[in-house]
Amino acid sequence: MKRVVSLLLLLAVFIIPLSSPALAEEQSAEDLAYVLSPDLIKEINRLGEQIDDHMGFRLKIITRDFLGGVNAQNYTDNTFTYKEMQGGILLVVVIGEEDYAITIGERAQKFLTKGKAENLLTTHFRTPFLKDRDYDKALAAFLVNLAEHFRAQGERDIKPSAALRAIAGMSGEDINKATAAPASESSWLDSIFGDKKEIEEQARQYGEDVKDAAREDEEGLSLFQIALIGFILYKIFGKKRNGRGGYGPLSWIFGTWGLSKFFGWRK
Amino acid sequence: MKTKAVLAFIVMLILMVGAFAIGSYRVYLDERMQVELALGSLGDVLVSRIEMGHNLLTVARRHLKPDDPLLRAVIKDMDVLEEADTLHEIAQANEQLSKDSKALLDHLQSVASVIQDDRDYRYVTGLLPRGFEQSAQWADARQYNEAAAEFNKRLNTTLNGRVAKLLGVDEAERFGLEGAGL
Repeated sequence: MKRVVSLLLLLAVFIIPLSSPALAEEQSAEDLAYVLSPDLIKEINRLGEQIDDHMGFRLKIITRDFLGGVNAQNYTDNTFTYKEMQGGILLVVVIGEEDYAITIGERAQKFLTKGKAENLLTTHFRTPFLKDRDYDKALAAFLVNLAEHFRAQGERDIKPSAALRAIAGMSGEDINKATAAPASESSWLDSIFGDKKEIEEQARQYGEDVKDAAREDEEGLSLFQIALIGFILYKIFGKKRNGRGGYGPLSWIFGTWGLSKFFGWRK
Repeated sequence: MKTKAVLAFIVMLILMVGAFAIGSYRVYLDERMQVELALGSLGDVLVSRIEMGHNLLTVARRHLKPDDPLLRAVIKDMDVLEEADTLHEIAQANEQLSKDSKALLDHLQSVASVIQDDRDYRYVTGLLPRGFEQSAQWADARQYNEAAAEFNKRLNTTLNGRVAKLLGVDEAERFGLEGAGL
């Protein structure tokens, strides 16, 4: 019986992390603007896994509607620092601003210079992205050529799939493109605010601060203050040195307590 | 003996009044600082209003001439909001931005080039108005104004409040006209 329980616990240790949201965040495609087809998302993730397995760095592509006034390159560089990129490649595509930017980490720079990446984007991505607004085709064309570039560098295990080539319009194969997933209520904010999580946290903090500000603090004399005043009075006017006459400390404290109640000065 | 009892009573009263005054001052100073803190948090969430203004301008610039009065008005509001120093200026600029951005969004919805552009029409009819609405919910100045009004009321109507006011605790400043337009 003990063995069964131990086995179940061991299984749980492996299964629970796999179902956690953290893994979902590690996917190569983060389509916040909901402009990519499920087929392309699948292909991006597949290529990302290949690169991760054989080259040891992450490939990430994020789509957003707007950046709220932040420069695209600054946003991409900043995002690169807090995503687990392992020195990889991050491409941010800003649909509503018709802009994009790429950041290349140290590991990836051994295979791809910034100049080469910009060249690939200008040659294969820019026109379908800006002129045709065919975001699937633009990204697929860039990724196929990126994979070919890695193969030319000796990374023969990196293979752009037939499906990716088809989306890029390079195979002549007529693929049946699925429509993009509809925007969900939980994520549309991600694509238009610079850092939705931070703003939400600030808004929550504001709500709490306002509640605290509206709450009335307790006023008046505390029991400690009353006791202290009573004791001071006892020391000044209390029992005589010979111990005869006058009142003890408790009498003074209770007297102060009663008087503070009379004037309504007690907490 | 009688004189001593009277003296004791007077000293007791003085000590209690002193403790009461110090207690009132400290309590109201803490409350005043809490109101200031809430105002600071409101300032933080106002950043989302500026972000939405930038998003709107990005779309508007694609379809309107640079000297379009509605476009110019939003640009001016954004400049004021980003550079404003005083609470009054920030509140005024924020309220003006709400009015002008609404007018610009309404206008964009009737511009032919926007109507013909699926993506931008979706932005001006859906995403941008919802974004402005959300940022207004986050930066709801009415909550702050209510808290400030309650503090001011307590400061001016209770005995403790009056004592604290006499000792130098100021009234809390209001943010705009009851958060109108936010």
